Amino acid sequence: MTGPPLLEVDGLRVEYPSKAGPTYPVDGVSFSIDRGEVVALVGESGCGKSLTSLALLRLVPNPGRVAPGSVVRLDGQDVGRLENEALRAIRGGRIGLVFQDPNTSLNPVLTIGYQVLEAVTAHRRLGKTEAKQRVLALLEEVGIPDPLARYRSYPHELSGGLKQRVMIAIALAGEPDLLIADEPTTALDVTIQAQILELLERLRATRRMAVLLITHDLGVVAGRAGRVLVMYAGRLVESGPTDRIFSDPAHPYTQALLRSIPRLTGPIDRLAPIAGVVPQSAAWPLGCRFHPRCPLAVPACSSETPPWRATAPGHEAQCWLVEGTR
Amino acid sequence: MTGSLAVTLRRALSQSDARVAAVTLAALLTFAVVVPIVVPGWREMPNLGAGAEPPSWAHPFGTDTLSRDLFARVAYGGRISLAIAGLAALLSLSIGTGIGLMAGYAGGVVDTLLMRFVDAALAVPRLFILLLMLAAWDRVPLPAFIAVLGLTGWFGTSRLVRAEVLRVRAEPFVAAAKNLGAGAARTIFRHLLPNVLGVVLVSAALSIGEVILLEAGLSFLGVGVQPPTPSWGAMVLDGRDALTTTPWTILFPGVAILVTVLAVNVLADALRAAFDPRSA
Amino acid sequence: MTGWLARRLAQAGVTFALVTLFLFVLMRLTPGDPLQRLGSDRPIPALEEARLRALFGLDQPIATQFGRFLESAAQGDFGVSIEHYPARVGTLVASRLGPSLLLGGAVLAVNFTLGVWLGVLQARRRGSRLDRWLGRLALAGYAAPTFWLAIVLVSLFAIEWRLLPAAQMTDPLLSPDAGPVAVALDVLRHLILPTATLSIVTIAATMRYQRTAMLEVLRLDFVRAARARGLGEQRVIWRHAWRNALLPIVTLFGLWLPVLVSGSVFVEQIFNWPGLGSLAFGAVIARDYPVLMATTMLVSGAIITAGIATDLAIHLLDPRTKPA
Repeated sequence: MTGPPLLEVDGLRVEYPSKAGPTYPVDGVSFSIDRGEVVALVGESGCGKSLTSLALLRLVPNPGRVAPGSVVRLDGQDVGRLENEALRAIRGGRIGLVFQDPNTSLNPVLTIGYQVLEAVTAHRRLGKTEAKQRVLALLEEVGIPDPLARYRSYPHELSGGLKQRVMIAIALAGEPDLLIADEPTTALDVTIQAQILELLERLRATRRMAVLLITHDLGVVAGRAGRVLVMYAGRLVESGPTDRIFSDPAHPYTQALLRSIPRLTGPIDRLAPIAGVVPQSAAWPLGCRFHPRCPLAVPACSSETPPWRATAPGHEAQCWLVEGTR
Repeated sequence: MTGSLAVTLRRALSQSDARVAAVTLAALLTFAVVVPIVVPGWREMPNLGAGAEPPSWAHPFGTDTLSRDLFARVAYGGRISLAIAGLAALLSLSIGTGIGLMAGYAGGVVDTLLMRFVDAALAVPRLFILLLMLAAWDRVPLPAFIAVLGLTGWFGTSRLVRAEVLRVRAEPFVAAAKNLGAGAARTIFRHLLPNVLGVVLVSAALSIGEVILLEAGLSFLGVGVQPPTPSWGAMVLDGRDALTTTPWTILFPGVAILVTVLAVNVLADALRAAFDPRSA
Repeated sequence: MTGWLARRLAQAGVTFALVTLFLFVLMRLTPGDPLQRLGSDRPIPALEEARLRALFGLDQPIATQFGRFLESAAQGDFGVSIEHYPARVGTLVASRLGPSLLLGGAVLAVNFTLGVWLGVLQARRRGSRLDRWLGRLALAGYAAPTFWLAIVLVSLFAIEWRLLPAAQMTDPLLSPDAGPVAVALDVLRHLILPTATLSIVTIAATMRYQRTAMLEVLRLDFVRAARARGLGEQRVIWRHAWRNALLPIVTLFGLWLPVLVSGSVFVEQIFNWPGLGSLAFGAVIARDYPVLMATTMLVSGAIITAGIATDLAIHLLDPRTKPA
């Protein structure tokens, strides 16, 4: 490992006010991403994955906010202290964000070309023709056929897959070092999903950027990410190299997630959805937050938060049952 | 239905602004009803010739140029204004609901004719229609004034009610009732009317505010309530040229209109929000 | 598109025809006629009255009168004013149209700049003290009687503080050879109080519509996406969010015109503004049928046209709408 990591997140908390006092849908998340690395953030919906990604860019929807004490560093620079210009240089500049639903993430009354152009000129001073050339090149790069014709199209004239490609082009406009893809394929048809994932993989390779891939589907992660972060109820519960996570998952939640994905090889009757749902952030249980749904829970689980324990170098889990070193 | 109506009303009053408005309105009503009984001096002119006197302990709102007590006159004027507004709104709502139910329930030619007429009527500002009708009298009698106000206020309501009827009519329970052999009257009164009540109630609150302003405006123009009967609009007309010398003569009636209409509209807002939480 | 427009125009034509009929019948059926009014001032000899009746066509049955009216109105001739005899109605209305448009345009400008801006501000600060108080203040303006507010403003700004003229559209003492700039400035000074009055009583609707529309849009994904690509806040608010919250505001225009016209009747009355509102009110009092018919038809025509313009604007603003 050379130099500091590209992104360093330490004790990230997102706070929402409520009548019964503040709640924390993201509650103390720490991780780091190196240059060029692909990291997957995995968990069920409602566990705080998307909010985590928004918090990195300080885009938490009202009335929430990133709680004081959270640290987000990009190349050693504290994003939490940035304002206005400097913050905007990060948003869409050093960090590009691809959203879940391309159908609602493009402005319906502005043309495709305009929206990409805007992203280009937000981060670089370019002449009119130069900027337009840049837009066309980006559209070309993300595999949009006939970019010149699409430049004048409105979002509703494009298919979901093409719209997501446009969103990716927008995210690339500022030449980011880190691309966050928040469930980039969830809103798309199955056949399109693979194409988009393939495109992201190709872009990562040619551009040598880091990718934070957020998904609820561990199946998407295999073979794409180098490292996996498993999130449950606002916290990370396990992190490790992808092959370790798949071959030797430590946390019962990770094990349950793995059992819930269909595999071509495994026996079909082993496919088991996890019983219950992620609780609301106002009603998170004491101790290990997974214990009410955990088949292996012991009394300690409901009273005290378990410590992080390492089962192998770089593979840690937060569970009482894990035998390992602290 | 009554149960949920009570719930809705309670929800409307859970807003602090709405509570303030309700209390204000109650106070205004009490003022308008009680003061003219206790202080009967609204038409008496004890010191004719003394001219307008500024507010004092004896006359909290002062007196007008004919030395009539303005406190009593504003209260009595409130009675007149509120009674006119209430009755006219009641009339226009009844007509509007009736026509809306008829158009929505009957459909076809009846619906088309009625709604074309409503379109045309809504294309003429209500004030113009009112002026046209009121100009027929040199001194319009109160019942006629109320009738004219009521007859010109139902167009919008009928359209709202009709839309609501069309919506409700498409719901399965109405079709079921019809299949079970419910007659037209039964369908309308049992099923349609209770469901359009929300729309009508909000519309009522809004139309009361509108009518108070219209009544005041018309009386100010001299074609509404006729002197010596006090009405807030006519009182402003009386004091019109004297605002800088005797400001109290038009300040109090004007503020009375403003506060009343404001309170009514705040309540209407709260009602609308309570019936349709998304609109808040 | 053209089919839709044709249908919409046909519908508007029917409405306008009904309005004309409705107004004509209303005017003739209500008791009292112009000559009766004239006669209340001084007695008119029976012979003279008969001559006048014949002159204005008042001796004919209503149907004949309506036929005659339609015939000449179709040729753009609305007849002769009874009150301002022998002025032609067309000339009279034309001379009042300019001032009315000036006043209406000024109010429109204030509403659609200040009102929109305040509504957007409220939406951005939803639930804040600023939002609540702006809302209450606007509602209070909406509840203020126009005529009363006009009088209060005149008393304060014109009479008490002598900052602005109390009435009229121009200063009669202005030297006749004043340059165009001086004349324009003079009109502008006279325009301020009437515009302020009408804006205060109408701005609440604009603010409220804008606030609601903006709140709807601000929570949509593309607004967040616009921020995520590093755009400035002003650009996010106006170019991305407001552009989508513009449609409801455009629809408001059609609803707002009747309110403005009614308000103008009071404001023109109090400020002695030489517009259509005061012309119409004078005509009501004098039962000057030809003038009344022409002004009311003009106003209704404008309202109906505004309705069509609104629908058309919505169509043009939103690339997705395919009118049914």
